[in-house]
Amino acid sequence: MLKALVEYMAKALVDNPDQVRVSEIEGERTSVLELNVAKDDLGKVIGKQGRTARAMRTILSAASTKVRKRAVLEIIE
Amino acid sequence: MDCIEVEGKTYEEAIKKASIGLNVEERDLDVEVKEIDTKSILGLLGSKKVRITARIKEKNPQTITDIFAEKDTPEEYGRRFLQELSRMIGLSFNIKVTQYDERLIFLVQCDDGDILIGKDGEILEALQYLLRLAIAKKYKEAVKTLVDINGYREKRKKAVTIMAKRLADKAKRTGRRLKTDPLNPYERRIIHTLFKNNKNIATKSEGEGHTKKVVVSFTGNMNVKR
Repeated sequence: MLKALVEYMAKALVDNPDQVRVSEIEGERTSVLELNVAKDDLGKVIGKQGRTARAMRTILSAASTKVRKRAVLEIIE
Repeated sequence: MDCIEVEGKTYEEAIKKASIGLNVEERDLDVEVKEIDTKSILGLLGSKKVRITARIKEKNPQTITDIFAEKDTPEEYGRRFLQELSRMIGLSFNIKVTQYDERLIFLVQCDDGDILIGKDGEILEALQYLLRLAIAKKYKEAVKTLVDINGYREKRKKAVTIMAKRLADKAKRTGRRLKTDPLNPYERRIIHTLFKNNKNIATKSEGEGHTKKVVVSFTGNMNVKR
């Protein structure tokens, strides 16, 4: 579910939604979500001073609180 | 029923009526002429009637999505966006969209609203920010939006107003410049608007980033003579 959430948010923001890939590395307590986007879209998911990335992380944290987990969003360059 | 029968003085008029009646574009109609009733000679005098039946053309899936895309509004898209996010977060939203002063306002009712507001409305701000980006991305234009969850912003507005008035009073009494707590743009605007027409109170945002403090100062004549 967290993976789908990240994917949905990212796809809504980029020029190349078909190149959005998210992989989830599930740990016992913590999930790491790796977000891959087209090179040209990196700025879109990071945003000015990382504002977009921060907003996505904030929402992800809300979602993970709900499932009692910690989630970390990594944007892969 | 996707088929209607209409009459018009001319063929064009009949088609226009049909397109309005079926609420589709004229080019999406299949038209069959039933009757051309010309009471006059050569149609030059008197009344003339054209009766047609029109039905909506069968569309292949491609055009159906095209039509949906055309009817898509920032309002509908925004509602869907928030609905999808809520579903994936594991909450269910009840969203009402209104418009005020060229701003789309998304009023969200949600049982577990506190999760979505977050500390100092942090999550609410993030939701609103992503919503704005998503709409801007899709429609290639900036649309002013506001998201409120369970009346949080309304409550904040009251609290911020009370705080600002108290600071203004104090500034007037002491002549000092007073700072508010860090506020987000929406909350700062409340304060600026509040004192807009007050010549004795000046407000100014100070700081960097998304949340800034508002400085409230008294600019009228100080009648304190001690």
